[in-house]
Amino acid sequence: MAEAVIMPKTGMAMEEGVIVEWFVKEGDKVSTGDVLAEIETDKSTMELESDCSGTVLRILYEEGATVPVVETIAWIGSAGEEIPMASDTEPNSDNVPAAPEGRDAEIKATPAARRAAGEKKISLSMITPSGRHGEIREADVLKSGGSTTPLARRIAEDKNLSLDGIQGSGHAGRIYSADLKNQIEKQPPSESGQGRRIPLTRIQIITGKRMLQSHHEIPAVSMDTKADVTRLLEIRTELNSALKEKVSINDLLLKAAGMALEENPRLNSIFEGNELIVNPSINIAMAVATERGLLVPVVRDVNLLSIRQLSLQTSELIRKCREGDITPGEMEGGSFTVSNIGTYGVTSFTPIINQPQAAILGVCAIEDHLKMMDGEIRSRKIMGLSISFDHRIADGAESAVFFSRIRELLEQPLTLLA
Amino acid sequence: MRMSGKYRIIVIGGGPAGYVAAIKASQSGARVALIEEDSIGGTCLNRGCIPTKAYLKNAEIIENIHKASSRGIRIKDSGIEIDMKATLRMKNRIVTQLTGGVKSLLKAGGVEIYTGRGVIQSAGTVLVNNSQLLTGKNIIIAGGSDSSRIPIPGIDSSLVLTSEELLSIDELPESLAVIGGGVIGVEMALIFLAFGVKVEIIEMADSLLPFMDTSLSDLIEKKLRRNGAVIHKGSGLKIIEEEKDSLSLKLSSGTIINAEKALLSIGRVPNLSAIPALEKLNLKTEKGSLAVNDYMETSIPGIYAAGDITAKKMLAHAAFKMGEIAAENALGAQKPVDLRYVPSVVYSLPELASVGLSEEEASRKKSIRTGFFPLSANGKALAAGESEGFVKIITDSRYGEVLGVHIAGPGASEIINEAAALMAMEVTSHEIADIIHGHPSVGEAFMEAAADSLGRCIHLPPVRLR
Repeated sequence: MAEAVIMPKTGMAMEEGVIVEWFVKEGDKVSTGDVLAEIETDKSTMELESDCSGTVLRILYEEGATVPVVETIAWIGSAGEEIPMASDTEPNSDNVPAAPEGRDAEIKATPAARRAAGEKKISLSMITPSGRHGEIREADVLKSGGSTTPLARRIAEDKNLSLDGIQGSGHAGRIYSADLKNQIEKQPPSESGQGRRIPLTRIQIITGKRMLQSHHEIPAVSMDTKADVTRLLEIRTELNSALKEKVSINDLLLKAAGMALEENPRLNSIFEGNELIVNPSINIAMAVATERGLLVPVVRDVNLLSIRQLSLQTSELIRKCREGDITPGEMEGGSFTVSNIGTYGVTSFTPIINQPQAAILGVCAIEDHLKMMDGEIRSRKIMGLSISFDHRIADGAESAVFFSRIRELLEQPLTLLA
Repeated sequence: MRMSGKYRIIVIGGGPAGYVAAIKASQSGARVALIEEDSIGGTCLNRGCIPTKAYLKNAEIIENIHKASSRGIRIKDSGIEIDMKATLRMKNRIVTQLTGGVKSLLKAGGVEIYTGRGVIQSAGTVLVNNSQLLTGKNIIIAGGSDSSRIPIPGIDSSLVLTSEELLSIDELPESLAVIGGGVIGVEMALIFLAFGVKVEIIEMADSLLPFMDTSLSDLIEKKLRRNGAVIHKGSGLKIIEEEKDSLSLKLSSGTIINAEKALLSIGRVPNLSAIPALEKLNLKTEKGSLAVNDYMETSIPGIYAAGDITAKKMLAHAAFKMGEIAAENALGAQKPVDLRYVPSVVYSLPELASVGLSEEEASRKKSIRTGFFPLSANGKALAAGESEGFVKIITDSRYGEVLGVHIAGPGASEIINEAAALMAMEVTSHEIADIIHGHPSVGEAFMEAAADSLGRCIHLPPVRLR
């Protein structure tokens, strides 16, 4: 019986995909794992591998066509075989790979690779991709894993270690936990003597790829300003002496950003094709540095939270990040990012936009400055602020309005408590 | 003095380490000489594991006869009589068959056996019985061990026996004092209690089997007391006096024990008699044992050692592995020995078996979880009327790595091999809890204990919160 080739659903949010290129034509013989087509989704491009062996009986969509997910796009079967009637072509739910969840969801992999990884119970994070667009293919899954002891696998997953290049000490190269310890502890100098090689954690690898992609794809503009936060700091001191929960400067900044986003929805939208999609809620991601790398947990509906509620949520999210308890779900759905490196004395920087968001706010150090006020010299607390925005989404004037609104809110801090 | 041809490997000692080393080397085509002064098989086959197992089977049969009536089997005229002469013959028959088997294996492999005492002269020469000089490229010393002795007045009395001597008696004493409650002491106590001998055990430490998990020590102590043994823990032996064919043993606590015979079972010490000229040879020792590295190499290149003489793990199965590795490395391999997962078994009734760390040792190293499954909830053990016992598993709380397994119960010596195999393969409690075990079997309890350590045991009520 002929098998349907469907448009894969590679992520929770994916609803359709574009067939960029067919690598087979009707009548071609294919084997399991052969690349049939290149598929483009809203987020990425990947190769579509065949799940079965046989002859390509029919190709239903041409290159360039946009097809809803799980729709049949081709048929594979025995040469000369009839393809099933239209009524039979309803996608069989058994064949539809479940949309990936958890940490593996953010790793690019073909559906066949995801299924194979699921069957072998190995995490995609431990597999080196060989696909043309950096995606993991079924063959990559099949040749990796299996030769790792269950304990070593658990440790590697926990510590975000890549198993690539580790020579296992067991029979046929099976990797034992002791082999990982060598990798963690030894970090031997490279053979040419040109310095130590330090393997990146999975988070660092993903962060690096995303940063590069953002840098390449987004026409970003950066601006700096300074906000007088003297009052803000006084109010914070008052709050902290009166409340049980401790409010951080970052909480107040999130609140200010949330209010400014509410007033400037363009900066709270996503660029797609020739349209902007305005996010219905204001969910702000905050960058948290951890031992494993940079994590960006998301505080939801910031505009609806009181400072106190906000502070409770941020401290819980930061704790989870530092202790490794944060879930992928808690890092998804951000519509704006705040990155605070002020504690290191930095006075301005050009943060890189967290795609597909429109902008990112960089928070810098607070310094004592002398300022003319009502004809007198006063000592004031001045905070540096930087912003990078996507010039496709907002132009300079719009962004400046948004940016100066944040400054205004910080300088009139009672508005944050309103 | 006769000179014999050049060997690739000369093995001194024909016990588990020595004979395995010799067979392994001969399988690789090497010309091998093996020197043994007594009979092939060493302590294990001739005077240790195997003879005690023969006697323990008798003890088990006796226990079963006693239990029979509770299961509805009436034995008429059920007075039990031990014919010690016949028992000894039975044991000797088994030993002869086994040692004969090993000897023929060695011969079939082309190993040349020399009977006599082998003494190392230099890195490449061994003198046999002061008369024959063997030369070889490599030497593997597998001299084994002897019963430990302590300098206590009266210890040299002919009524104080080693385990070897006790296994050769053809007449039962009326009473037996067991000096040392380790593995040998416990096994012998159970045997002679079953044979109707009055037994008292003296142990210096605060528990019997001091090197095992306390759960096992506690269980076997109860069992011994129930069988009639008197146990003196935490007391040292001060003096032994012989009076008219019987002994009087004075303890540090002041207690005096009277017994017809005594067994000295305080442990074993490496036998270094193959290397009397230690200093001259510059062979390094460590606390009375021959020092070796993980490759079984001594401090002199070309000389290897394996088995009890290294005091690494004084167990026959550890000696097998050490002998094998020594032979392979002597022939050019570079293999380290890994003795982390060596099971140890006490062939008591019920059997006790352990692999890995005790709960106390493990808790000092890591954050741990424990799982426990009593055999009173195991169908097979219940049906056999042998539900005294348990399986206890100790895991690392983060990854579920199995750090130790301790089993008491029927077949513990077999089930422990499953635990050792899975530990060596680094299978964690998460997977063990999911492995389907045949039902009914005592081994199921291992899976259940793993599940218990994760708080998801099906056949236990959710009593404890960890």
